[in-house]
Amino acid sequence: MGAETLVAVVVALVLTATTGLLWQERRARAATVRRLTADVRLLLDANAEHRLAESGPAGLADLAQAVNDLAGRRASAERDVAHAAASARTEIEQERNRLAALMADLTVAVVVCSPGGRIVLYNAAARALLADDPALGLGRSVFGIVDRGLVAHALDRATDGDVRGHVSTVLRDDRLLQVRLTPVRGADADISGFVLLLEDTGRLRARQRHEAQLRTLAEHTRASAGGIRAAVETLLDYPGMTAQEQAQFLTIVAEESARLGEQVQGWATAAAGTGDRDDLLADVRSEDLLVVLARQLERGAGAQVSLPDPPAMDQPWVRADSHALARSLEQLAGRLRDTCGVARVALSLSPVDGHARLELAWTGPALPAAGLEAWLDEPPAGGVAASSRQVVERHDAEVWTGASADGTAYVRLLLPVSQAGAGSAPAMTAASESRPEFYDFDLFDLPEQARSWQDRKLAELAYAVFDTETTGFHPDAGDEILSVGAVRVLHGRLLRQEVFERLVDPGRAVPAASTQVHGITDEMVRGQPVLEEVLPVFARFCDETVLVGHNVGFDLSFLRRAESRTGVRFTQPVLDTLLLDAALHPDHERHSLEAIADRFGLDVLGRHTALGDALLTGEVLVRMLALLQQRGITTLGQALEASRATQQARLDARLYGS
Amino acid sequence: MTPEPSRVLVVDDEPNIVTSLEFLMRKAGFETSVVRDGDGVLAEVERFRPDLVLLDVNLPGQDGFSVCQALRAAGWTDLVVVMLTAKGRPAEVTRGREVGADAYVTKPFSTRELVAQVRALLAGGS
Repeated sequence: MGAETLVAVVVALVLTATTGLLWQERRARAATVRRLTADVRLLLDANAEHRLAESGPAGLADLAQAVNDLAGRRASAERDVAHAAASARTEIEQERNRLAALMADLTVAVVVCSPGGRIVLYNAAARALLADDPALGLGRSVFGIVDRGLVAHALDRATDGDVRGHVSTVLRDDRLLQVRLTPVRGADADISGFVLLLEDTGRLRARQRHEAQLRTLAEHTRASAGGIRAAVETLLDYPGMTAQEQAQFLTIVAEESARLGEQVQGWATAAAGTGDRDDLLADVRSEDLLVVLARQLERGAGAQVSLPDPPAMDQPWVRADSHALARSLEQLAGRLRDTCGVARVALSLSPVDGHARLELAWTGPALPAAGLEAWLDEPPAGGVAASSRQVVERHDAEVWTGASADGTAYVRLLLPVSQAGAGSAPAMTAASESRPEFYDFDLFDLPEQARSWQDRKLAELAYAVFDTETTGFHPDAGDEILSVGAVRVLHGRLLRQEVFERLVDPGRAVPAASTQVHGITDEMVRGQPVLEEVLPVFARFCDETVLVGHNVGFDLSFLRRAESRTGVRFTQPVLDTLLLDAALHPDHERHSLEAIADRFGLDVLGRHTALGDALLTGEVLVRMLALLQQRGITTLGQALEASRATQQARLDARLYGS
Repeated sequence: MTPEPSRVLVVDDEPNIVTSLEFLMRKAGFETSVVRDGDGVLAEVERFRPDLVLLDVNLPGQDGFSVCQALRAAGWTDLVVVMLTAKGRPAEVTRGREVGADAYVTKPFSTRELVAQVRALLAGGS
C-alpha cells in the first residue's frame, strides 16, 4: 500500500468519523430543541411554575436560561396583578358590607333600584314594612310595589331639576304607603338608579288625626275664651244687675274657665304625642347609648370619659337620636374644656320618674347658666342639622346645670324612655346580627332589555325553587296540596331571606299514611287558607323566575290540575334538578334528592317539609349551576335541551332496556 | 298667745296672677310678699324669711328651676317650694322635683285646690 493510499484511507476514516460525530451532535441538538419546545409549551399552557433544564449544548442552554428568566418575570407580574385584583375585590366587598350594615340599622324602609326598576338592595326595615309581600325581593321589579307610571313621573321631574320626586301609591292589600323617590346619578350625571324611602301611612294617618285634633282644640278654646269674655264684659258694663243675674254670669265664667283649663291640658297632651312619633328617635339600650356618647366625647373632644360600672338603669331602653345627642355632648365637652379646663368627665344614666337622666359630671366649677345657653345655641356641627337646643327639644327633654355638695358639677338631661318596652328594637338587632343578604349589586350591571328565556344566561336568572307536600300521589284521584314551600336563587346564591311557606286547607281528610311522610295533620291545616287563596300569592313569588323542583313533574301535575279552579297559570320555564343531575352524572344510577345531596356533601336536616325540601333543592341547584357552566351549558336553552335529552334517554331506557 | 301667721312669698311676673294669689293667700290668713323676677328672689327670701314660696317657672332673669336650685344650694332646705307653671310636660315636672321643688302646680289651677295644697304643705312642714 502506497503512501497515497494510506493518506487516502486515513482521510476517509477521519472524514467518516467526523461526519458521524457531526451527525450525532446534530441529533442530540434536535432532541434538546424538541424537549425545550415541549417544556415551553408546558410552561405556557399548563404549569407556569415549570422551568427548563439549563443544560445541553452551548447556545441552547443559554436559550433555556433566558426562557426561565422570562417565565420568572411573567410569574411575578401575574402574582402582582392577582394581588392587586384581590385587594381591589376585598375593598369592594368591604364597601358593600359597610353599606349593607349601615342600611340594616336604618329604621326607615329603604329600597335601592337599578334604572330599570330592579331591586338591588333593601333593608330590614323594608322587609318589616312589607312583611309578607313577595313583591319585595332582590332582582324583582319594584313596579310590583310602586306603580311604574308614578316612578316615571317622579324621575322625569328629577331630570327636570326637581331634587326630590314625591309619589304615593296604593298597595294590593289596601295598605297605603307613602313613597319618596330620590334618583341616584352616575359620574356622567345620568340616572344610574333610584332610592325609595317607604313610610307606612299608618303614621301618616296618625299625623292627620293629630292635626284634626289640634283644629278641634283651637275651636273649643276660642269658644270658651269667647264665653268668658262676654260674661265678664257684661258684669263690668251692667253693675246694676241683680245678685241672681250676677251669680248666673259668674257661674258661666267659672265653668268656661274650667273647660278652658281642660282644653289646654289637651293641647299639652297632643304636643307630647307628636314628640313620641319623631321618626329619628330610636330605642337604644342605655349601655349602648353611654358607650356611643363616650366614644364621641373621646374622639371628638379629646375628653377622658369614665362610665358607671356596672350601668345602673333598670329600664334599659332610652328613646334617643344617639348620633345627634353624641354631637351635642361633644360640643358641650369642647366648651367645658375650653372655658373651664375640664379634661375628665363622667357619664351616667339613671332612672328618674319615668325618664332617663343623662348626667355629664366633672370635678370643678359649675357651668354658669349663660354657658349652658351658649352651648344650646352653638351652630350645628359635624353633619347634624340642628343646634343642641333643637336636639334637646326634639327629645322633648329638659336640660340644666348645677353642682353637688361634694364639688362635682354637672349638666343633666332628662330623656324619654322607650314606651313600647323596646319590643321592636331587639328584633331589628337580631336581623342585623345575622346580616341577611338583602343586596345584590351585580343587578346594576344586568342588561335590562328582556331577552328571550332561551338565550338568558343561567348565571343571570332568578329561580323559584319549590316543593309541595300532598295528601297522596294522584291529583286526578282527589289528592290535594297540603303545603307549598319555596326559596329564591339569584346570581348563584340561595336567598334564605326570600322564602315562601304556606299550609293549605285541602278541604278533605289527610290520610294517616301521608302524615307519616310529612307530619301534616288535619288539625294543622284546618282553618288555613285554601289553594285558591294561596296559589295567587305563590304565583307572585314566582313572578319572573324559572321554576325549579326535584322531580318537579309531580308538583306541576298538582298545580296544572288546580289551574281551572284557581285561575293561576304557571307559564314560565321549568327546570328539574333530577333531570339535570342525570345530565351531569349519567353514570350514577341514583338521582334522588338524598343521593344528590349526599354526593354534594349537603346536610339533609329539615327534610320533608315543603320549605325544607325546597331549601335543599335550592342548595343542589346552586351547585349544579356551577357544574353546568363547566360543561359548557351556560344558557337556559342549553339546560332545557340537556334535560330533554336525558328525559328521552331515561324514557328509552325504561321502554327498551339499556 | 296666737301663733305668728305663716309667710308666703309669691314669685310671678304676670300681674293678674299676682293679684289673685296675693289676695287668696291673705284671705287664707298668711302674710305675703311679692317678687316679680328671678334674680330678686334670694335677697327677698333672706329679708322676708318665708315658710313657703309660690314660684313661677317662667320669670325674667333666672328661671324658676334655677331659683329653686339656688335656694337649696344656699341652704334653704326647709323652705317649702311650690312651683307654678304654664308648662306641664312630664319632663318639666320631673325636673322640678329634681331641682328640689316640693310640689308642682300647672296653670291654670283651681284656686281652692291651691289654697288647700299650701295649707297641707305648711301643716306637714311644721
